Formats: sequence, C-alpha cells, structure tokens
Amino acid sequence: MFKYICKRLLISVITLLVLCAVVFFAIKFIPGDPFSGPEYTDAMRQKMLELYGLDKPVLQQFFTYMGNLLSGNFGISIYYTGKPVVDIIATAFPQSLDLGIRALLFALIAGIGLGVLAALHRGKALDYMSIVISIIGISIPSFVVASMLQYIFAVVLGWLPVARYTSFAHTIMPTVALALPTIARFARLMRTSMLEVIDSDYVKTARSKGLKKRQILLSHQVRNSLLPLVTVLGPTTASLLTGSFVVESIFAVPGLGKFFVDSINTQDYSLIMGLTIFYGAFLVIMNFIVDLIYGIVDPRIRIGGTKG
Amino acid sequence: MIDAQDRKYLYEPVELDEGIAERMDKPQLSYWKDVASRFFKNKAAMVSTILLLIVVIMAIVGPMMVEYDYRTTDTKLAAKMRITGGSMGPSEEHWFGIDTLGRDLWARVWMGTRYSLLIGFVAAIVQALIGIIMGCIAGFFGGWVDMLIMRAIDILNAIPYLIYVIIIMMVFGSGLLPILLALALTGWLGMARLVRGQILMLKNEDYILAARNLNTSPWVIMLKHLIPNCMGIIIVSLSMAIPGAIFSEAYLSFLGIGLPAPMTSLGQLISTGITEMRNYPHQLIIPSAVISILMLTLQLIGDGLRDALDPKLRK
Amino acid sequence: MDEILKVDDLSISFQTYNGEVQAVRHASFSLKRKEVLAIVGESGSGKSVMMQSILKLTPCIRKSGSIWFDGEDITEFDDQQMQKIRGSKIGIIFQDAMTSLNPTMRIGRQISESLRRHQNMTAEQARKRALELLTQVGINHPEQRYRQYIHNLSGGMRQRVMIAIALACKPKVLIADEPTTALDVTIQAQIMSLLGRLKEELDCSIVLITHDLGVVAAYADRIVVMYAGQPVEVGASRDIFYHPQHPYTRGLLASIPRLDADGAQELTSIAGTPPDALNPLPGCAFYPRCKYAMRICQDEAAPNKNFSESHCAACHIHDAGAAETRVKLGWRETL
Repeated sequence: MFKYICKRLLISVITLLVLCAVVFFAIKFIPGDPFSGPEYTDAMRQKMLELYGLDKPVLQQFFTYMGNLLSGNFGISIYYTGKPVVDIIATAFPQSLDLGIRALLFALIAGIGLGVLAALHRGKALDYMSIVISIIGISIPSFVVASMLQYIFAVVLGWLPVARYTSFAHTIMPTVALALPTIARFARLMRTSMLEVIDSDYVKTARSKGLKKRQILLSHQVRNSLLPLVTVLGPTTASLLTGSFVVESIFAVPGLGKFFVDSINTQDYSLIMGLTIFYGAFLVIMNFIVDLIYGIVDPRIRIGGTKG
Repeated sequence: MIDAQDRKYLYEPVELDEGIAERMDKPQLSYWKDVASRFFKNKAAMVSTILLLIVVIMAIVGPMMVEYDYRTTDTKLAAKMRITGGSMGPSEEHWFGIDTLGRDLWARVWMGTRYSLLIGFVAAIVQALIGIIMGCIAGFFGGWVDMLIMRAIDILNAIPYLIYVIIIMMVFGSGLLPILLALALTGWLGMARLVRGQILMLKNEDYILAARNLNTSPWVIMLKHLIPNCMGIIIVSLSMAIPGAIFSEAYLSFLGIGLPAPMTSLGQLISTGITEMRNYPHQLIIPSAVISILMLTLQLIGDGLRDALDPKLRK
Repeated sequence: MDEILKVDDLSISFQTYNGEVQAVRHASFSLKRKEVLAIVGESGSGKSVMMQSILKLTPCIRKSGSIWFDGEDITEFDDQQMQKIRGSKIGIIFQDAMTSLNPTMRIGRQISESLRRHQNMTAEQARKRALELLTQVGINHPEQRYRQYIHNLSGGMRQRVMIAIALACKPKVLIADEPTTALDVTIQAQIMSLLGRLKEELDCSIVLITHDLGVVAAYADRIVVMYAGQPVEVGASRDIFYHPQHPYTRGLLASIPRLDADGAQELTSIAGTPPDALNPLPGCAFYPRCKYAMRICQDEAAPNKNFSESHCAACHIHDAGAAETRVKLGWRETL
C-alpha cells in the first residue's frame, strides 16, 4: 500500500511539472506578446513587458514563474488589468465547485439507479429506456443539451430562469446539463458491471445460501458493481471540468469555466496559464484521491499492490 | 407388431465410418463472416448505418443542391426580415432558412457537416495510426521503451486532452490543419493502451514464439501476426474515435477556436445559433439535430461493431 | 421413507442465442439418506445443470418431470419457498472456489450470512458458530482467517471455506459440484476425506458431481452415469465398476489407466465428441460413438433394463432381439 501511494504521488508530481512546462513554453511560442497591439506605444509596451517580467530570458521567466507558483502566485491577469489570477480563482472557483458537486451527486444517484434498474430488468422496457438515455447522454454534446434545455425550459416554457447562478432554480438546468454525460457514463458502466456480477459464480453462491433477494442485491451485487465506478471517478472529474466550460458559458454562471472561455477569447495568456495549471493541480489531486479510495475499496489492491 | 424378419434387420450391427462422430459438429463460419452476420442482425446498428450514409451523402451533395453558396451573405435580405419581423426560418427558397447575415442555412449546414465529418475521419485515422505504432512498440519491445511510453501516457492522461488541444490551438492559431494536428497529438493514448495490452497477451502465444525462433524480423511479426490479431479492438476503438473527434472539433468551435470563417462546422453553427436562439431558434435547432444524429449513429455503429467483434461482451 | 431427494423424468432446456438447448432429458434418479451418490459424465453432459436446476439456481425451463425433497414435492416451489431450502436444507459446493466466493467480502461474513438468515442468530452467535465451522473444516487460526478475504487463501483453503458455507446450517443434502477438479492431487484427497468425515459428523447425504472416476471409486456408494443429458446407467459402485452394462460406461472405465494390469496396456479413449445439445439425435445419443451400434439405435431410444434392484442401464444391446448381434460383436456380460 505504501509503495502504491508513493508511485501514485510521484506520477502526480511529474504530471504537474510536465503540464506547467507545456503550458508555459507553448504560450511563449505564440508569436507576439500581449502588448504588441496598436493601442500600446513602444514606451508603454516596454514598460508593460518589464512590469510583467516578459523582457527576461525565457528560461529565467520559467523558473521565476515556477517559483511564484510554489508561493501561490499564479501571475497577474492581462485583460482584467492588475488583478491577480489567484483572486479570480478565489472568487470564481467556489461557484464552479458548487456546480460540480451538485452535478456529481446528481449523476451518482441517477446513474447508479438507472444502471441497477436496467440490469435488474434486462431486456425489458426499463432497460431500453436506460440504454436510450445513456446513448443520448454519451453521444449528444453537452453544449447542444445545455442550449436545448435553455431554449425549451427558459425561453419557450419560461419555467426556469435563463441564466445566472443565484437561486436554487438557477442551478437546476446547469446541473442537469453538466451531469447528463456523467449520468450516461455511470448508468452504462453500472449496467454492464451489474450484469457481470449477476452472472458471477459468487452471486450464485449467495443464492445457494438461501439469502433474500434484497440482501443479495445490496450486499453482493450492488456493492461489487460499484467498484468499476470508482475507477472512472478520475476521468469523470475531468469531463465535469471540461463540461463546465460550456455549461457555465451558456448559463452565464460566474465560475472558473466561464473565465477560462473568456480568457481564450480575450487572449489573456497569463489567466489561461494560471487557470490551466490550477485545473491541472486540481485534477491531479482528485486523481490521487480516487486512487487512494480505490485502494481502500478493493481489498485485492490493498494487499497485493497491483490491480487485478 | 413387427415381424421376425424386421426385428432381425433392426438388430443388425451398423458399421460406423471413422469420421461420423466428428462430423456431428455444425459447420463453422469464418471469423469475419461471423462478425458481419452478427452486425447485420443488430437492428440499431443497421438503421444507424443507413442514417449515417444519408448524412454523408447529404454532406457531399447537399451544398450543391441549392444555388446559394454557403459563404455568400445577403445582408439586405436579413435586414429586411429583421425589420419586417419576417421569418428567417425554412421557406421555399431557403429550405433550412437563412442566418443573421442572410446566408443560406441549407448550404451552410451540409457544408458544416462535411467539415465535421472530414475532421472526424481524418483525425481518428491519424490518432489510430499513432496509437497502433506506439502500442506495438511498447508492447512488443517491452522493457524501458514500454516503461517510457506507458509513463508518458499516464502523465498525458491525467489532464483532459481538451486542455492540451486548446493550448495547441492557441499556439498554432485556428484552422483545419491545426485542429487535425492537435487532435492527432492528443487522441492516441487510448488506442496505444489497448493495442499494447492485446500485444502483451498475444506475444506469448505459441505461434509468435515459433515465428521468433525462426528468426523472423520483429517488424514482420508485428505486421503479419500481431496487428491482424488486434484488428478487432482497433476497429472498435477507431469507430469510437470518430465521434470523439467530431465532438472535440465542435467543442473547440463552440469556444471560438475551431475553424476560422468562412469555413464552418456544425459546432460553429450551433455556437452562433445559441446567440440567436431567442428570435431565430431554427439556427440552433437544425445544426443541433444534425450533429445529434451524426453522433448517435456513429455511437450505435461503434456499439454494434463492438458487440459483433466480441460476442462475449454482449449483454 | 429412505429417499431424501427424488427426481423423476426431469427435462431441462435453455433458451440460447442459437436456439433451445436440451441440457437434461428425461432424467430420473434418487438419493437415499446418508449415502454418497456420484453423478459421472463428460463435461457438458448436463450433470451440473441438473443439480443446479433442482435448487432453481439456473435460469432454465423445466420441460417435464418432478422433484421431491424429504417427502415434499418441490417442483413448483417459487423463489421464496426455495430460499428456505437453499443453504438450510440443501447446501452446494461449486467447482471453482476462487470465483464462487465474493472477493470483496470478508470470509467470516460470507459464512455467518447464511447462519443469520436461517437460524435467526445474532451477529455474535453467528460469529462464534462461523469460527467453529472454520475449525471444523480444518482451517487454522480461524479468528484471523475470519477477517481475511479469499485472495489471502490457497486453493484448498478456499474450498474448505466453501464447504463451511455449504454446511453452516447442517443441511440434509450436500451437493458437491466437482469439488476437487480445480485442486492439486494431494489437496484433492484432503478435501475428499474432509467431506467424508463431515458427512458422518453431520449425518447428511452427498451428491458428488464429477468426471473423475478415481474419486468415485473411493467415495461413492452409488453412481449415476450421464451422457448427453440422460442417465444411461445407474447402480451401486460395485455394479458399475464390475458389471457395467452400458457401452458408454464401459468406454469410460476402459479409459482409466490401471495400475494392476499386467505389462503394457493400451489406454483406450472413446472416439468422437458428445452430440450437439441443440439438435439431439432421435435415437440413442451415444449411437455415433458406440462400438455396438445397431440399426435400431439410430431412431429408437433404448428402454431402461433392470439388472438388479439397484442396477439399471438403457441400451438396446440387452433387448431380446439383439441376442445374435451380441455374440457377433463380442459383447461380454462382465468385464
């Protein structure tokens, strides 16, 4: 177990380093600088470059940047002049986190429920319904779902507020739109793993003990089927994150995703850089936590140190 | 009542020829015929194939069916409609209506579909090629090469590929080639993993060991024995990569860093559609419907292929 | 009433992707109290399916027949009624303990589960009893094992845990489905003698499903030989080993290497493969592989002929009309 943690930890750290380097040098690679526009005079440009430390050699800039990162300084936004990226993260991230947690919870409940029901009613109407929902959720892009929801429930029917994120009613559509692909993923996975478990020998053993159906369902089938779900929690956080970019933009949720999309459009490189690295760190930490959870849940890993 | 003669006849011994017991087996279909017949039996996959073919044909001939070019704006017409409050929606002249700049949406939608499909197929194939090569190298040679490639995959995999794609797109600017490049560079991880796993499994099969003992070159072994035996998973993974690439392009277009104007894609049409949703919902609904059909059919075909290639997975 | 389990004319089918498979066809046999009954046959001969269908553990269709347990007709029992029988009155051990035990549940809980269900024990009582059971099946350090998972155990240990689970509620019948097939030879003997000991201690009957005639010879009182879903010969061990009356049984026996044979001995096998259960033959299922095949065998199923009170076989070779052929083909009355 200790070895397992160390290995995961090492990979996490390298991942972050690689990401920082890729982002940093990629952005340095972009021709021109943020102050080469006509609105800046040469003198002003020189001054701004000095202010942002962009006149130094690239490698030096990189190490300065990394040093700053370690001390929690993610740089200063160019578009929102003078505003530290950390401040933007501090105000916007809670909104995104709130939305993300809502979506994750909703997806867990709906996805697991749907998958279990589908597996229990294999080949019947409920099964097909869950297959249809998961196929739609997997294949239709989230921005299509989000904009359609917005059009139907806010514009045409007027049941829910069109945009922004201030009351519970405001959270409904963003949560559903963000959760749908994850619901689909969970439902699909849960259904397959339930079916596998239902056919497994140990469930037959459980039945041969004369246990009640409900007891077999809860303590043998669902419990064991949940395991594969833990393995996709990592990719799920990632997809919730990329999903949040579009969902927050469409519903004007003042979260990090919206800032990220805006920063792409305003070419606010230092904000992009800061946010990307923040996202990277967030994901790496989440993945690490998921790995730990997996190690705890599956006794085979806990002892053996290897999967399978 | 049977008479004595008949009884005697019935109890005569029968010479069984040698092979009779073996011949009881039913005829065996060849692997690929078996796969094809399973795929054809899958209704959802067959309907999807037909629908997809229709969409592909429309993407090819659709823009030519109307006299309007997908780039030509007609601001006068648009302005007139806006002022008179006339509908920009589907009409006799413009089957899918027009957009806010007066461009014919029929031509634009099918042109957008064409670009989306192009990106989807090309990116998926390039991704697959890179993935197969990396997977083969890692799986076949093993050792530190394998270690290096697998760690690289682990590290790249930890961050959603879309973030890498966004960064690459910003470096190279928007355009068809940058998109293809960005998708190709980031999308091969899954394929490489699958192929590696399969090769690790196959590597110790007796016929591979036999080929190695005959001093067959590793490249020949790979091309002749290993890759053909990975074909199943390669096809399935490829069929899943196509909708993935189409989705990524649409996503980038939605973020505003996809194809540059005047090129268009379904993602771009949708993202302009969203801004006009209140007054001209057809601009959102039509491209959304086309991309949904495209993604659904591709997904169902992929599922069908997977079930046909690996009946064990069928549930 | 000395028959604890009785199966009469049982036919079982499966609906598969390729059509209906007739896994068991017109099977009849009975299990007496305190005896070990072996069911012997090649893999795919329907022996496991038949026993599992008695407990209604497999999703199959019963085409005909009846099942009696302890004087009660359980043929039409629904799942709830079966739950009261499974585990408490009939226990079952599966072949592969590795896959038959839940990998994510502690061993102790897998045993106590059944105790709590059938014997209304409290958690503490069940724990004590489970520890006793672990000791009874020969597992050392039961306290420690109780908290472990199956991947901590060796193959033989796992099978012992399976046995502990099956015998937890002192069932009247134990079905052992190839209990030793997945194990090393030395462990096989340990497990078999454990089963024999527990049978005496618990006073139960055992149905031993196996394809290993060696195991059968040592432990079974009576034997049912199955071929393609049908019992072709039933008899006491002595009858089957010394006076086999069905060509298939003779083929099986001839394929066992014998240590007591003089000099070099050719090991014979039965040519061919078992028939396709999708399209059963109209006559005798063994016809295409049989050394003694006659015309009648192709179209007409053979009737059961009784050789003694406990010994019967289904083969046309014993028909009155086949007297001449018997001589011609060199059928010997005894081996």
